[in-house]
Amino acid sequence: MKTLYRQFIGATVLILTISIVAAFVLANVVYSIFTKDKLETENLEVAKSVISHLNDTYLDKHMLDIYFDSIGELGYQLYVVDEFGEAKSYGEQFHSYKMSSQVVTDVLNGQIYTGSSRFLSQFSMMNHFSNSVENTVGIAFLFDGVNYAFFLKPDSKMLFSDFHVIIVGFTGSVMLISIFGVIVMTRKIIKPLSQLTEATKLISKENFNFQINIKRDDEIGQLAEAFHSMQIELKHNIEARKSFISNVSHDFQSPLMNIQGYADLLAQDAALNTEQTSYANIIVEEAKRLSLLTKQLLLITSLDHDSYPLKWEKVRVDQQLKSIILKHQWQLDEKNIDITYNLAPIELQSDSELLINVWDNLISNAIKYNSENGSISVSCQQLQNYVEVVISDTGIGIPQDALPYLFDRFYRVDKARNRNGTGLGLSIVQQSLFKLNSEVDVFSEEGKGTQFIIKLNLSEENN
Amino acid sequence: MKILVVDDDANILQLLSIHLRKEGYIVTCAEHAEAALQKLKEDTFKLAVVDVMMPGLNGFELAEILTSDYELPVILLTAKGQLEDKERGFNSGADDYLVKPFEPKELLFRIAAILRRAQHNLDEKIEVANIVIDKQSYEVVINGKTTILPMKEFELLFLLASRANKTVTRSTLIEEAWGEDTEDYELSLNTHMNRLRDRLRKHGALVEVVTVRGVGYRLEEN
Repeated sequence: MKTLYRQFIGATVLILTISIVAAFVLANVVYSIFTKDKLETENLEVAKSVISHLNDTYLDKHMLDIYFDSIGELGYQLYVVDEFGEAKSYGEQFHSYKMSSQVVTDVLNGQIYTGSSRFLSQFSMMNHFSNSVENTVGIAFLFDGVNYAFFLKPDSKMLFSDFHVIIVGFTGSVMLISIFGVIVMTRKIIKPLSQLTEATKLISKENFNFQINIKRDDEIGQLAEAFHSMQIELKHNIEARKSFISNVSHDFQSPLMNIQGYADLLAQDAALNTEQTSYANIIVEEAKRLSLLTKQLLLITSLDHDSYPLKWEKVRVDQQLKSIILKHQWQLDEKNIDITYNLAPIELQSDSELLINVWDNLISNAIKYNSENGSISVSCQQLQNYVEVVISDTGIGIPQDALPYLFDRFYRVDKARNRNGTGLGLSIVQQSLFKLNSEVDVFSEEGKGTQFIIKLNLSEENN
Repeated sequence: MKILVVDDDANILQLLSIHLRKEGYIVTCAEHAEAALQKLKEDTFKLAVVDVMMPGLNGFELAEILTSDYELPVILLTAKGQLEDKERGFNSGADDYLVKPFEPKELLFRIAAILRRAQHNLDEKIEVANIVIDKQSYEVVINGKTTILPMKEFELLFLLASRANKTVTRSTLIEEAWGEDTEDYELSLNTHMNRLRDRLRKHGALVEVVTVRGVGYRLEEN
């Protein structure tokens, strides 16, 4: 990931580099426009005064060398050529002694040479420091009857004085401190952002209690505030939804239970005739169906949302199956259905509630559509990359032409045979398994029984 | 056997008590938790059936008091089938959990199971030939496959197996499995024994239930 942290530091270094380059160019412009001519004039003045002192004093040839040496020691570099072409230099050595003879001749003829304007390219400050003979000012002088061309420049070493070291140090420390400051500032900006990321992750897991400790006056502070109010809003919405579901469940199921229970008491009343008993039974069956329908509709609407909040956790499949079997034991007893199971202890990452719904639907179907004295067998085992759960019954079976529509919503094989079906159970099974990236297969033979094979995928464990 | 039923819906209270009384239980009703706690001061009970959604103390809170202070087995009733509630129910100490609407028979079955569990010694496991009978989980393992027998059949098999190769009299069997020794259950005993035989044969158990004419039954290893 390209962290903000790295981006900020990168940007700072880039900005510093650009500003240094820009400053350099700007300084060059200033130098070439104002400073260069001034320096040249100064150098020429120095050269002229050196020569005029030479003329004021009587010196012999030997003394001339000493005079020039002492000038050289004062921080100047000199280059002297006589009319016979003999050249000599004083002071710090030049780096390059290249000098066209035309220039020398011109100077001997009395012209003034200003190297920095002629030889130096425009707008280049660094050439000012170039340690070559060409980068000098030149004038002629007459000594002892001999014409000399005299070239002079200040010693570059003297130009790089302590002051320059101070400037370099100054610039360097500005850079270092800026980078350090950016690091500290970036940390301060990034810390609340990481906190917000953490809170966002928790919210996607329906945990709204993460306290954000960000008290700032800037945009990040505003973001944190907006985030906080969103947190409260979401919490409220989720709670409202949950309480709606539980209220609907409670307020529907309690009356339905009463209708069902009292109609059942009526149906058992010996004083009623056959017709009346059958009416009471119809009320019982329809009340049962309505209550199942309510539950299943609530479930299937929540499954319909793409954002159904899956809760991945460790689930013991064998224990779930056993608890569902025990839950239906009374019905098994009543219909005298024989149940056997072979459940290997299996733990996998899944959504507990969805899986329970799958088992509950399949096992209650296996009972509902079983024959008296029939049997059911349940098994689960771990195979290479999935867990296989097989639930088979010896019930009425499903006709071949109905198999393709079996998992369709509200599809019921035989509406005439009223078995309290809603046509939603298998749709819920399939949809729940789809959410868990798993699948269900069905094999059935009419009159013999049905077998559901569920393959729970293990590869989604990382979620 | 005294049972306490707590629910704020008077109709459900009445419905449940009709069914429980039919089954021979003595029922005391309470419409909220406070009333239930009052009844507990006046009487002792074997089991409580408690609705979760009640004004005042809710079912979870009441269940916690009942199980920890009175050591009373509790069955919770709720309209919410959600897993969170189920977990909360078991955390509050409840023994079982029923989602409304349920059939009265289902409740009766659960009550019987809990009361029986409370009576028996829990850690009993009997092995005869290739079958293992686990009293705690009510499971019978035959040939490595687990099966759950109907309660009466399980009780009968357990009695026979615990006295394997010895004859158990009909009156002992009836008294242990039905709780009272009356002629009424004679026919029922025959039916259950036949079913049990069929089942054992079907699952390949290497035992046989032998009829000892006029006396009772005996479990023999093949």
